[in-house]
Amino acid sequence: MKKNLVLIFIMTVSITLAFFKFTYDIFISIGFFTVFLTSVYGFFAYDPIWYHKSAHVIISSMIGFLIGTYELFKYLSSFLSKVVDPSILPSADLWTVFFGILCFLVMIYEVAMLKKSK
Amino acid sequence: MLVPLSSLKIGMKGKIQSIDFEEQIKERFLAMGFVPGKDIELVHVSPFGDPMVFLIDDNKIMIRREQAGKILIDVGFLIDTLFNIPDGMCEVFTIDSGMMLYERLKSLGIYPGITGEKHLYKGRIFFRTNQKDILMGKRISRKILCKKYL
Amino acid sequence: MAFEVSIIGNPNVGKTSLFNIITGTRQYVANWPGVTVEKKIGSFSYKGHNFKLVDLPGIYTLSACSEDERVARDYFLNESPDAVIIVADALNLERSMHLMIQILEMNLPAVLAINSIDEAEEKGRIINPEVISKTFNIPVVLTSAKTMKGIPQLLEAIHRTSEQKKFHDINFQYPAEVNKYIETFKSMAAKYPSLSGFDHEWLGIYFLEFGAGSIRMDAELSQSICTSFDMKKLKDIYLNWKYGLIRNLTDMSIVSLGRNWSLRDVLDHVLTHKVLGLLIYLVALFFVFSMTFSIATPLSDLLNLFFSKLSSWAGSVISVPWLKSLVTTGIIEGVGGVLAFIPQIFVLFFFMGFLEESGYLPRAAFLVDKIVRNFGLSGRSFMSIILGFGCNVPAIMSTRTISSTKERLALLLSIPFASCSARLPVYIIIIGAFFPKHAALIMFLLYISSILLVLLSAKLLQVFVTKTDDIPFTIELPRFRLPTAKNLFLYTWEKTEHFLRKASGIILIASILIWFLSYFPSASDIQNSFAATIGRSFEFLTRHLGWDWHTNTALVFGVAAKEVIVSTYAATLNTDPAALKDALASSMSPQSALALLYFIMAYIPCFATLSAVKLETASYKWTAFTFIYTIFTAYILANIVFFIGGLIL
Repeated sequence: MKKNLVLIFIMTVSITLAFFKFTYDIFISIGFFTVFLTSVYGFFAYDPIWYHKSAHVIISSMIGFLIGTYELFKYLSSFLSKVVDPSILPSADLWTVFFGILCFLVMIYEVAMLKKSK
Repeated sequence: MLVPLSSLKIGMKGKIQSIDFEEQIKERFLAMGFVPGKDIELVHVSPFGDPMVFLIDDNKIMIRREQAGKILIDVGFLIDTLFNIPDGMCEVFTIDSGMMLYERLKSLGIYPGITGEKHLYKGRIFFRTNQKDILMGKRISRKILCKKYL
Repeated sequence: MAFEVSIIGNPNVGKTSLFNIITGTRQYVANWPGVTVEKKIGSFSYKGHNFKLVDLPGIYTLSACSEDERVARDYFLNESPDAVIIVADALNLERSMHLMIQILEMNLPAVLAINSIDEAEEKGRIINPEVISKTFNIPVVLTSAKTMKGIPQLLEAIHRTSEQKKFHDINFQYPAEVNKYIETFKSMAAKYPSLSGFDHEWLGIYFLEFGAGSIRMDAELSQSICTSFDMKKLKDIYLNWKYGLIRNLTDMSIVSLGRNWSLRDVLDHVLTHKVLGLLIYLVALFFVFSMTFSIATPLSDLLNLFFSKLSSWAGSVISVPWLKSLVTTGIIEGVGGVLAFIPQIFVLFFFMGFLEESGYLPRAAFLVDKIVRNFGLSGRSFMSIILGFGCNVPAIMSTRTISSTKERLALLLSIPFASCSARLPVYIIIIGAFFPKHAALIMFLLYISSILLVLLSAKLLQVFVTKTDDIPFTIELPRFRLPTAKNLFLYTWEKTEHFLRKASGIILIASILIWFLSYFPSASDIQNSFAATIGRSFEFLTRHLGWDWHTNTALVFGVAAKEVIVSTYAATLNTDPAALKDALASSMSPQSALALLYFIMAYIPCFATLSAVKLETASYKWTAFTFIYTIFTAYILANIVFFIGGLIL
């Protein structure tokens, strides 16, 4: 159903990003790997508790969102660095930020669904 | 049946019977919600087995196994692996595994909620449901958690 | 008119939030005399009257076996607040009543605030405040710190209760045996003039519930009481009655239970998971550090820039050479160097505050508790250790909430061994100069050694620090909540400002002292300054390690702030930063360098950290101890490493 699709989506995007960002920023890489693992557990592990899949969706998207926030803040604060060293060129990894925003929306939606359903 | 709090498995409930500490520490437990007569349930166990988190009313309280051993609980049912649980009728509570094993067991007629009888024949574990009598290997029977009413 | 009121409640009920809402920023932190418990006092005015609000510690009971509880109980006994605001949790009403009844038994003018009513409503739980209100004849207000609901009514209730000045004597319908006991107790206690200040009925109940150790009473009296009554049986009767009463009140007050699950359960499902939980914890810590360094470092650099600009301006305005040097190098650059890492401290505290206020920390403590227990620590302490790797200062200040005094002290004194970020530039330069091929490995070794040193030190110190207390590690896993910006800001600001104020004193003095030692006797020749002389005087201790006065002097200055080691080296070796690496490489052997690295890792913490230690222990003894302990350990460690290094390198 829908939750499984979301989990698969998160799984694939996060492991891809984790792989490609390995040299760019180790925190982002490790962070996305954690997102990957969390969503994998949610998809493959069986647990009778009714909110099992929802929980994994929410947590993995929460972490994804935090990583996106980190990248955004890094970008914003590099403008501050520009004051000290004008040669600095602020840049942000758009894929990370974009995925972070997506994750935020997923998280909000899932929490709302949870509250409505029970 | 009275058992120490530390012997509970996740999902098991009971009623607090007595708290066996010296006065000052006992008072602390009382104040935190460990009041005799209240229902208590084990909800989380730490990665290394210790500490444990229990649910009393709406509170989740973490205590170490050592202290949990001194609190007696009156349980209405036992939860243990099919491997350990005493022979006789019991109810499948949960399957501790991935999706694959779960589906396989389900197709055999074993899934949470099902009642069956555990018995041994020539040292091997069998689980008899109203459909069939199934041989359970040691590894698998350690992954099936059963509930036995007392 | 002026009134004094107090606020009390279980931990995690939102007492602090209510306190912040009522007092705004008009609050300050002090200490209860003789203990390390924090005392927060705020003020507010209502209808023209001035109120002083005293924040009492979050406790479950007034039994007085922990400092927190004793402080609260003694406050009630010694001061007569015009009102006591009891904060209860709407979703945990029954447990909150335990404390409430104890306070009512003390005949204090109470106001009950049932907080987090918004969360209750969201779950569909409905509470009827009239039941409790009518039973005890006290005002009961349903409040929500988040939505500000009920606040005006609460203020009104506080005002009304304070003005009434009525002696609240609630007639509890105790069981017959308990009543008999009370009457006997009262008549016996009347004979003791030392007890005339107490309400004997309350004293009797308190003695019954908590025993002789909890309050000072004449031995004769307690003995005769214990012989006249079967205290154990009486206590059971009393407790049964009390819990029955609480049960009934709660059942009648909760009109509808509502949903039986909360978001907390959903999140905990993953956060307490064997594998994922731990991994997420590590990532969370990594997140805190990454955020700190990406946000704080630019700010810090900006501050450094500001200070150097200020310094040059001051230099251009002052003409007297020694004064110029004092003001620019000594004061501005010296103090500025430390102030420049205020951004790091602020951001670290901010995130720590977020983790704490959101309710996540107990989960983290739960995950690692078993491992750290081998070192006599609890899961809660682990967080402080990790913080120490960012900066020792917030780490030391975060130990305040550790309840076991023994653990807290041992931890506090061991945190300086955590390799903070200020030591990093020094490591980088030295490792770069001596071990360019194996840089990452050496760095990794250093950090692992640092963690081990902290843990072992904590274990060791606990053997010597004998203040035993054994309150079992039992904490609650509270509901998750999104911290409000206001609370977070107040929390972070309070910690940062506190440090700023206290630390700037010692840092200012230290900076001036160091300037003095390096400036005199001859202004431009650092080779012959007092500092260099001091460095030379230590050579007899360090010669066998291959360190000469250049190193010693740098180490002496490094006490002010570890980064200073690098700049001192540059000054004494007379090179510019670019050539420093080569200059260093030729000044000693790799073996000496390795020993030096370990020495730097462990020796005397920077002045900022020393001030934090003084702040948290409130004693010069422990600060001096830290000084001696760390340098002693560092010296031994350096020698050991030198020896082992000689075998390997």
